[in-house]
Amino acid sequence: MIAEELNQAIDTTPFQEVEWRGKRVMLATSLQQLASTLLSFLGAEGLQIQHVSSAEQGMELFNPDDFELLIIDVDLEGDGLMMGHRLKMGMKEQFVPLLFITSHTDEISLASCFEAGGDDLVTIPYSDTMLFSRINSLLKMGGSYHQQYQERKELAYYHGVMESEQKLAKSIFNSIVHQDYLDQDNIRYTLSPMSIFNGDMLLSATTPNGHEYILLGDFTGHGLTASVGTLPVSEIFYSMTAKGFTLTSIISEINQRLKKLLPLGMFMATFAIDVNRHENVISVWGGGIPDLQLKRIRSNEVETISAKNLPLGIVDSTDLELVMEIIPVDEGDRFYIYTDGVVETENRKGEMFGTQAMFNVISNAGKDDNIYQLIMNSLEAFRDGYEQSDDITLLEYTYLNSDLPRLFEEVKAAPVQSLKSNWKMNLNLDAVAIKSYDPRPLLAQMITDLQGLHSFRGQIYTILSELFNNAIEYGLLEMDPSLRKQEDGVLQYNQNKQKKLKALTEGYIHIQLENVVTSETAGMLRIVIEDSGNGFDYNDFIEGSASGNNHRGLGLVSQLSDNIQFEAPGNKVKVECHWTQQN
Amino acid sequence: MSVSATEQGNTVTIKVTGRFDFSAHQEFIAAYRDIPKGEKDFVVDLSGTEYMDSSAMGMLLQLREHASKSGQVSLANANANIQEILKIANFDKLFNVS
Repeated sequence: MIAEELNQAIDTTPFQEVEWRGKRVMLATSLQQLASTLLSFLGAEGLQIQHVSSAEQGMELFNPDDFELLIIDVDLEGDGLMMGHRLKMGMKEQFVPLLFITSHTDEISLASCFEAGGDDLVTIPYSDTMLFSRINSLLKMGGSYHQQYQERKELAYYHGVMESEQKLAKSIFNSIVHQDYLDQDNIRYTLSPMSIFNGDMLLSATTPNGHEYILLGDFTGHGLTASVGTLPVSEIFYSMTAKGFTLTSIISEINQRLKKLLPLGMFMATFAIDVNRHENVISVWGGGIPDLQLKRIRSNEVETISAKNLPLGIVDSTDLELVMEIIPVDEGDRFYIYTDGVVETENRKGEMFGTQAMFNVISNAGKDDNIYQLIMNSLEAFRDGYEQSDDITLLEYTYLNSDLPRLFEEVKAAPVQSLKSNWKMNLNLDAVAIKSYDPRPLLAQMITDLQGLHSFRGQIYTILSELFNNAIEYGLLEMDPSLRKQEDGVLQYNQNKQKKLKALTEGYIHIQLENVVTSETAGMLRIVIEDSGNGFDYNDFIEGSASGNNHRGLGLVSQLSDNIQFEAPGNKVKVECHWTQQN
Repeated sequence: MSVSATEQGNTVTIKVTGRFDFSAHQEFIAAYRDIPKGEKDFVVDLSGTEYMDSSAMGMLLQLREHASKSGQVSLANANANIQEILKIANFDKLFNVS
């Protein structure tokens, strides 16, 4: 065999690297003599040969998937060059090598073989060795091309699968993470994803008693790994906010979950903000994220509030300082929070936009300027066409003091699916428990679950919350409510409260909850709260108007309930709420 | 970008030159991987570092776990941009930034 002879001649590596056996060849020649010689020669080497004797027949039978080699006699009936040319033109991404056999040895004729798309040619008379080597080389070429073609096809397939999976995942992520709460007139924001996913997240939700919580999170990295953490964070945020947990409890829970979930080195830079319209304050907690800028409506000045903590997910919650910074706000004050992608925006020279530039834009803006747009324009001007290299998320929040959250307008008429059960519970908290535990979310949850009063949750939570706070602030801590009305009084009041609470060593709060069925379809929920303090002048509350006196919270309770009574000396309050089952 | 490590006494100094981002991950870990965990103090020399992103900060947190318990990881010679990035993240609570 020729392969063996050649191997002996070269005497180094085996010559026939290409497996001939089973390779499919189309042999197109009208010369019977040539056909039978080649058939027996090539057949002996293990090739499977399909012989056609005209161009018409060849073109009809040929399919690039069915052959590894084409051998065409130029003098084929119906024109071999034309057949080769047509078949080559018909191959798009595939490649089947073409060997012409020709008896014309002038240069023009030989060149026309290549013009027609031939990859090589053999002239008649040919030598077996030359024919063998040429076929071998073409099969090798075709084989490696075919392998690349298959790999490309596979890659394209997997790429397509990945893209469609990402699209699906993105829509799931978006529906979980980006709910509709941000679509308010006083909020403007941008979330610009670097890739199909986004390591940035912006959440907003309202507690049962009308506090609005906002959370801006920026995970390390980009893409899928960065977005994995967004699911547990949004789940914790929404569910705990709906139950009325404090924002510090939520931050603590998110931090602990991320610490457990994220690999070492991944974390979430965070700003969390509690907007309290009852008291016209925002409370702020920041971890490892650029400064919050607060543009005052009255003075037109900017106050900068820096994040004082580590990002979430690095240390245990017990090692975080979970203290909110309280800031009194006026209607029309605007605040700005943003991810590091904004301040780290780079220009062509590799310079960063920087925190100072951010401050300057907001500081230099006039009262009526569209600051959000000014910031976006400044970033674009700074970049000057240079590509954005990090996620950019920016939120502008304008504080509006709508009197009471709309939440309470409908509650009294809300239908309930209540159980006809009588029950009663007592909870006694001592000073240690009062300082370290907030029973309100769980009590409100228990009442709504046990009694089926889900549509009253906001109402129940607010009543419990106000009464519990009163017991702490006016009962145990003997705070002066008139302080809150003074200039910067809210801040002072809260500082005093924290200080006194820390020093508290004695005292108790008793909470009694009771449900009484009054008819087939109606009942009454009674909440009694008693504290160990000296009481307060509740006549002031009873005589004063609900909104004008010092006890605004009690005014709210009075609006939400059917009956409110104090017992002398004012350390015990009893509230009744009637509910009616509607069909 | 290049990462080099030199050891002197109980302190290993890792110098990161160029952009300190995800592309430095393999090299950065290789610089301390063979040093037994919990035995050495580390200094990350940032004098030649032009830029640092949050994945680089993640690598610093990983290094912190590798350092000796009593010792600290020091971040030295950072330029103004990197100092600002470290300050925003409040990393001075975890690292000795100088």
